[in-house]
Amino acid sequence: MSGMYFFKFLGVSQDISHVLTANLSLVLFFSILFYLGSKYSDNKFFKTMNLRMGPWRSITVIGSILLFSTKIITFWVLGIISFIALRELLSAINIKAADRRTIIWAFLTIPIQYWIAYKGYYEFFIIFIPVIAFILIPFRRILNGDIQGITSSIGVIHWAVMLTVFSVSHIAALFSFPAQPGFEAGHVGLVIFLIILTEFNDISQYLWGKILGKHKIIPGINSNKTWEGLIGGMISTAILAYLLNYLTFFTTTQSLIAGLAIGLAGFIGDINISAIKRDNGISSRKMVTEGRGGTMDRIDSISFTAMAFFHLAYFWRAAV
Amino acid sequence: MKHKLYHLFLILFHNYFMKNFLRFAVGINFSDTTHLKDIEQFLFVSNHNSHLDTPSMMASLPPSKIINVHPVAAHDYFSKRWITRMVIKCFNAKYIYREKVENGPSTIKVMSGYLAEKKSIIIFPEGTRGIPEQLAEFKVGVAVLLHRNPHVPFVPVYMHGMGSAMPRGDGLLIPYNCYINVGKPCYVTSEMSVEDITVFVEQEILKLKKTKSQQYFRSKV
Repeated sequence: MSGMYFFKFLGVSQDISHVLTANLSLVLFFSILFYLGSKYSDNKFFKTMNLRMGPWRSITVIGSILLFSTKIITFWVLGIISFIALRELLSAINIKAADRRTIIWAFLTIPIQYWIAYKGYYEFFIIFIPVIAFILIPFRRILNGDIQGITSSIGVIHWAVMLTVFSVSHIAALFSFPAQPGFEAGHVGLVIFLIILTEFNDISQYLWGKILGKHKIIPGINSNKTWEGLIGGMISTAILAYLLNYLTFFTTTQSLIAGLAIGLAGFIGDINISAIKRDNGISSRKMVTEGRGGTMDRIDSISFTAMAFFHLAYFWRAAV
Repeated sequence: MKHKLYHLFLILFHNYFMKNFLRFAVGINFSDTTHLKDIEQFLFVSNHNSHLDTPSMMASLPPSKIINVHPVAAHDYFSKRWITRMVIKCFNAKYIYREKVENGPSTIKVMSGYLAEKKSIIIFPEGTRGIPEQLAEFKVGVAVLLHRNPHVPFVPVYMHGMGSAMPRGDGLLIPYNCYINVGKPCYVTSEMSVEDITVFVEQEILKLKKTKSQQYFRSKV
């Protein structure tokens, strides 16, 4: 309960402090449980779960930084996450000497996209990377005059920018979301709703798959993903979305749809990164033995859920 | 006093400024080098693909050792412009003469002299930056030096990705996840011939190459 007073002291509204206290207590409880389990028992389940808690813990820490600092620091942190993720993605795929100038242009989209998100120019925000960068990035590559492998280069570089810059900037754009009448929790409520549901969805899909999973969806890419896990995870995420409804301005039906959408988008994001890693000879199974994974493993599901959630929320916002 | 100030400058510049810059802006993953504190002097031997190689090797040294470690630089290339002469000063580097200068000292003799003064040397056996991620044929200079000074160990280093972040013939630096892997010190025995030592050094460097998964999942330090 002291957590609640702590958050109140920081000037957070009561709804949000309830959720944050619950999240912190859950993270602490499961971290200690799985840590002790992995230390005193030989059961592999505890070891895997102990490592799987890592992303949840780091998201909680980064989320707290985002929520309790000023808007400008939030945008810097998210921009740096985009930068590190883009660097990691472009390093995992093989780049050619001719792509180097184009890659610098790809990195330059980060400050521009976050500046637009900071200002809250929705129309510009939504076309900058899908339209303007889509036109300019191939242009820079063609200016090089080197035709060898140009099709895959322009495809991969623009796609990497979409996946790491455009998608993550949607979390930032939630901080510039137009104010909604009669809605107390504000932007912070939307961001917490998104982050908690995404993390909860990851863990519950994994757990449902472990308990009930029989029918694998795509064994060639990720052998952990089962139909039972996906459906169970989506339903439990929708239930949590219904319970956390007061953080957002959604109606009951809308929050159930948002929960289902986050469940599906998180699943798609997860298998996307798994597939790319497989293609580049990075095995996911090593995560159990090799320690912490890359940044892309942390943001794989949130990069897809952020886009789905932001556009649903924008669609349902009150017309002002 | 001047010596101590210069040591402080090297620590601040390499161990703090350059190391963090390379870590964040470029994405170089440094390996643990605390085991180098216990060795008095060594030859720091690695593959060479980029201008980033020497800064990352200097930045990965333990701060107490940095004043005694000298990269060797080719006089014909690095003494031409004022900017490269400046770099030589900041990196605690020493010149060697690739061309036979009239009445000048030979390269091996110069380096043996530094080893006799209990100093360590950073040296690239490939001689020059080659094609990224391809190990060129090693020159015999390192082997000759080790053959004459068997009491000095060599520390093998493998670097990956620097050739993509800043390759030869391109001044543009792009962010790219690289790694530098520093190995354990190795001694040569007196029975080994110069050819044997060349092969031995090359094998020890190639042993430090990581698989793609090991690169991606950064090891706990």
